[in-house]
Amino acid sequence: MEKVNIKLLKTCSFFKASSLTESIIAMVIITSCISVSFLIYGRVISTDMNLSTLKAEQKIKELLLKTKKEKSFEDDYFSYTGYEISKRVQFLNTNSVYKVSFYVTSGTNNTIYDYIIEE
Amino acid sequence: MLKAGSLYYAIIICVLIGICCMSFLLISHYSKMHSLFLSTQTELLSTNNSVVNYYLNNHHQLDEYYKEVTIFNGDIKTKASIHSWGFYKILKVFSVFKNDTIKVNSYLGQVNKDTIALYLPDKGKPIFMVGKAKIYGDVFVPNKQLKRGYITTNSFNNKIFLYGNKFKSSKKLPILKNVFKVSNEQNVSVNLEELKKDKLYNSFNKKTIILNSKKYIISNKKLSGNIILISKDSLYIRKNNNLENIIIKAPKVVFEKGFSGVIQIHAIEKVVLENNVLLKYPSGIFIDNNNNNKAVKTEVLLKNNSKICGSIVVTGNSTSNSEKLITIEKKAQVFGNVYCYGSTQLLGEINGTLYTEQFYIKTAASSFENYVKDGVINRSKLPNLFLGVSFNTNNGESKYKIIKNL
Repeated sequence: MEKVNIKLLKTCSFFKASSLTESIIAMVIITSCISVSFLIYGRVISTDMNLSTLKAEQKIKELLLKTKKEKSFEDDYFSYTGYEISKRVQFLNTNSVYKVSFYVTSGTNNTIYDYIIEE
Repeated sequence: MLKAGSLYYAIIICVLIGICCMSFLLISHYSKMHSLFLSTQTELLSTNNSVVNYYLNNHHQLDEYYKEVTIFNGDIKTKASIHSWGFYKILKVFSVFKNDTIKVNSYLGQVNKDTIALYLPDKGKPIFMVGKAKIYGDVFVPNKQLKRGYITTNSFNNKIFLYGNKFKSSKKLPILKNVFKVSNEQNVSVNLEELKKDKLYNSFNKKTIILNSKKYIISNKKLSGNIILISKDSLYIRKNNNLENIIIKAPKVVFEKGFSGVIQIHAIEKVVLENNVLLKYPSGIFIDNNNNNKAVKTEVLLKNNSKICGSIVVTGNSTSNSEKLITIEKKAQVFGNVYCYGSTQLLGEINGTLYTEQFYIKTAASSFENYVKDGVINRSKLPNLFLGVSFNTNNGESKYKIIKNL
């Protein structure tokens, strides 16, 4: 009977067991790796350029073209989803030349875009 | 049969995760660098463009030497300078941010303030229109007199010769000052015969190249950019030359039949455009003769079918006795403004404004003063966008605008 049991054991034992210590160390290593990777992923996603900022930049180009075409040299304020644009026009003390500044507020980001255009 | 080795598998998995994370970080880093590079480029271009717009209206604040511009607060440094290039000006603006530089050279011309077709000072003689002569636009003429004329067998054919208003002119033409200038910065002088190749391009960011020609005939040359071709004697320009944006300076300049190019000419005695010559926009002819010798004739001659898109100015000292003439033959055309401190023989077409002391027509038998035969002056055909030289000195100097970027 004992011989049969040993034979069965030998045929069935194709997975050798790791020791407990080894298993725990392996699990710790894998868990720490995965958590570091999640941290990196989260950090990269959060520091990447905001979609609102990109939309605001495009909007500013549109507003600048509109200002040139319609010659609307007046201060103005625009509010959109996710960002706000404030337009300030300053007449430079020369022949019909204006400094147009766009102040963009998107969340905590504040950016200024300056242009000089002629009438 | 798998051996025990959970530690090994853990290390392999770690390495794989590590590779994925690193590649993710690298992609994100390069993507950010690229977007920062693009946004820097955009800001550089936008700052450069803004400075160009500012100095289009304030060019008197600049000179030939680069001046640092502080219009915007930021890390982008901009310098600007302006150079005279014949009738036109070149505005150079360059913007720098760390390792990126943008240089823009703009070819500038004056906005045309002349809305009239003809200005003839009052010498007490009216103008006589003969044949198919017509004027489209307002005119300033002696005592507002414009009459039908008769030369041998030719009389005025049409019902109307003036499509515009008449005004009384003053006794003198407006005086032009410094209308044709070339900046006197450091130049490089080279003999044309010593050039190794027949092609030469010189950027406007470099020193002007003065090409001295000892030969009378210029043939098979390709010259463009910041170049002045000088001769102490006459120059004959063959049609196989390819000349663009250069200045030619010689006492007499003649262009062969069929020549085409963009040139400004500074002569002392004579400029001749033979048949079918085309001087494209922005070209120009300037003759400045202060010679008191009456025998020296100053002349611009546009032969049959020749065209020039630009300005023609023939001027000189008011005390000078030398004869000054502009002759525009049949089918010859000028697109631009013409100023003649002398006499104009108009048989062709001027699409722009003409300022002249008087008209004349020379026939086989005689010559007639203040007669216009078959010539047409049409102010409306010159577009408002045309930039060149404005002879209207009222209300100060004209604004400058960009013709093209070099």
